[in-house]
Amino acid sequence: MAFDFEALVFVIVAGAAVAGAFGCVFANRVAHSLLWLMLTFFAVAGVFLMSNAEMLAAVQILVYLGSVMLVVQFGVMLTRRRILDTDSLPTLNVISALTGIGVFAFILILLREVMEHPMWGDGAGTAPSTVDFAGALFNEWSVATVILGALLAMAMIGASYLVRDERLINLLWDMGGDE
Amino acid sequence: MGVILFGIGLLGTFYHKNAIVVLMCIELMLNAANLNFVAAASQYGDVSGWVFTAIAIAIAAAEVAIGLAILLSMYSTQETIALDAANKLSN
Repeated sequence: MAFDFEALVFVIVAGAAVAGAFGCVFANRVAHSLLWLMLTFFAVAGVFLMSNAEMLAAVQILVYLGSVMLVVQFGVMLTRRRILDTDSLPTLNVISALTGIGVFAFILILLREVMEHPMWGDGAGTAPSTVDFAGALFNEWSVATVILGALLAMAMIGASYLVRDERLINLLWDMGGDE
Repeated sequence: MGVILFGIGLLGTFYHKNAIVVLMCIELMLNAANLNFVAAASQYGDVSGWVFTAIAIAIAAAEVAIGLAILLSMYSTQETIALDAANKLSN
């Protein structure tokens, strides 16, 4: 029987992404919403794989799941007063709910207007390959890549400066004093 | 699907008062945009969409690092990360 496995896999992956997003927003504890977000990132990497973007799926898993979520987890661990803290309960009132629904509806209307533009013809070419991606990144978009590297360096230096520890005890310990 | 994820992330950003969850919902919105980039790139055979996605992933990682650094310095001065407490500039 002609069963479209690709559509089935897409439905599963998309469902996992949406479920992870809902779980992230409506979880009671911060650590739980972090785990739901990791599910979403996995599902998004799956969608990348289905679009023949293997390199981007690997980058997504490495960067988001491996670094971003780790850093956020450190943030969660460093800012808990007690383990059972439920600070993340949302402050729901009518205004925020209406605002959220209104913005969502506005985005859907905008999307429909954009999709009716005649520019979006049928998909023309075949999917590019990873070699094309590497070539584009370093030849056509080389300036952007260099600027991105500089931006990341600035971000890391800034973050390190923001979390510096200037307490005298720790400075003395760093310098090897016996005080 | 990118719009659905973006909308959910937007709702979450307005909804929560814990700064870490707000950061995570911003990441969700960035992922939704990346999904759209990759889908367009794979449909039209143009590799620029992939380059934009890689740049967006890198910028999102840098932004999370800085956001958490700001959060940690706010926690060290105020002992809380609820965004209701970030009102030093108001009268």
